[in-house]
Amino acid sequence: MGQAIPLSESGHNLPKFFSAPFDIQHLTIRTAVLPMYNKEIQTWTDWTTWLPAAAEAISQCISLTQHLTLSINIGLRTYSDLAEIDFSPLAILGSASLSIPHIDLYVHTGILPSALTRAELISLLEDYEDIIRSINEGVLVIHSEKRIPE
Amino acid sequence: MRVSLEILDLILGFLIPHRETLIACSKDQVLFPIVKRHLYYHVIVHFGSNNRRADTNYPFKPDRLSKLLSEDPRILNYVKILQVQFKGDPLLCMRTFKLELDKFAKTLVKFPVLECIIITSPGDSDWCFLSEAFQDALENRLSLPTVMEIHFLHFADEILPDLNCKNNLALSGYFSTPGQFRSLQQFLPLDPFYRLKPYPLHRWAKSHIKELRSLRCVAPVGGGLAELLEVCSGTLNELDIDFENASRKF
Repeated sequence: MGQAIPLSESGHNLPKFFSAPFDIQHLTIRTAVLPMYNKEIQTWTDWTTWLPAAAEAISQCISLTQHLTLSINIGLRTYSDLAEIDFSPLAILGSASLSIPHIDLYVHTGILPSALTRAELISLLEDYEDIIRSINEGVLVIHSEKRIPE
Repeated sequence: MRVSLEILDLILGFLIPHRETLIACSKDQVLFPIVKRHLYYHVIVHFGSNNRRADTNYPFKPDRLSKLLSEDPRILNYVKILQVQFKGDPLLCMRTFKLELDKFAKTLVKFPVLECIIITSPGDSDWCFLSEAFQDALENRLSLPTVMEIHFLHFADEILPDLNCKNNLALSGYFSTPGQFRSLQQFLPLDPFYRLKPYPLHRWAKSHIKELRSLRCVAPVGGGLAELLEVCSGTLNELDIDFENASRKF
């Protein structure tokens, strides 16, 4: 598979959501990273990722909420696909954790049996010191292979 | 053993989702007066073609329901959930739908104690297919103090298809230009107020946005959300931004 196509590279930026001071008790952001199938060559070619869009939305809300829930649906076909996904937009969670007292991160891949353990997810994020710190401090709680309870 | 009317009434209330059973019970002359209240608790009106025999929800044709209500107006007081659904290509059936909707609008305003209104569009159509008379009637009923739950389902090219209750508004929408998921340029801008203006229903919706406590918005990539949030900034305490379901539209 090729490279992911982040939202920002598609030439489209998210608009400003919050033009006035706001106080939201609970902000939920649902996002996805999905494989794209090219019918012409009958193969999976790219990933479409909404992680940059989610990161942008979070960056706009950092000082406005007490509780952030981020849900990521990763459309993995095989476990090895995971290496192709760019998780760098999640770095925003590090700086967000300095202002937001509680962050829940739900990640689910749809692969059974469970493909992505909490430890594996943490290892994908280990380059981001603020994220690891916020996990250790209990601000960021990872729910691996789980969906947000409705 | 005798069962009191109150207990019987309670038991029948549990059978509301099992319409076939209620219909069977209603054939008993003794039970009928008690069953009737539950039988008409959730009424489905179906516009367009439908294989009614295969539909276990037993929907009414609008003419049939209007006739039934004129024969027994007490039924109006039993209806708490009114579901309006359509079948058929909205482009081909537009004229038929409009005529039927105009006619049914006069019946719609008669329901005095509705608690839930569900409108299911004929798939990817917009508000235009609802006649103005019907929209006016709907707006009138939406303003009833008893109405606490509203669902507008499967509306295309719209910002406000799902109003889950007066205090909770779920925003979602399809986009009129299906295409490459990657190309966000093909997403129509989400501009609530632009689309809120033209129709009476939207006037109603806008006035209730001020009372929102929770908001779910699918793919707010085109703008307009800021204005929406500003209107309800005093009450909103839960915001759900959904990029995941936007991607599933394609």
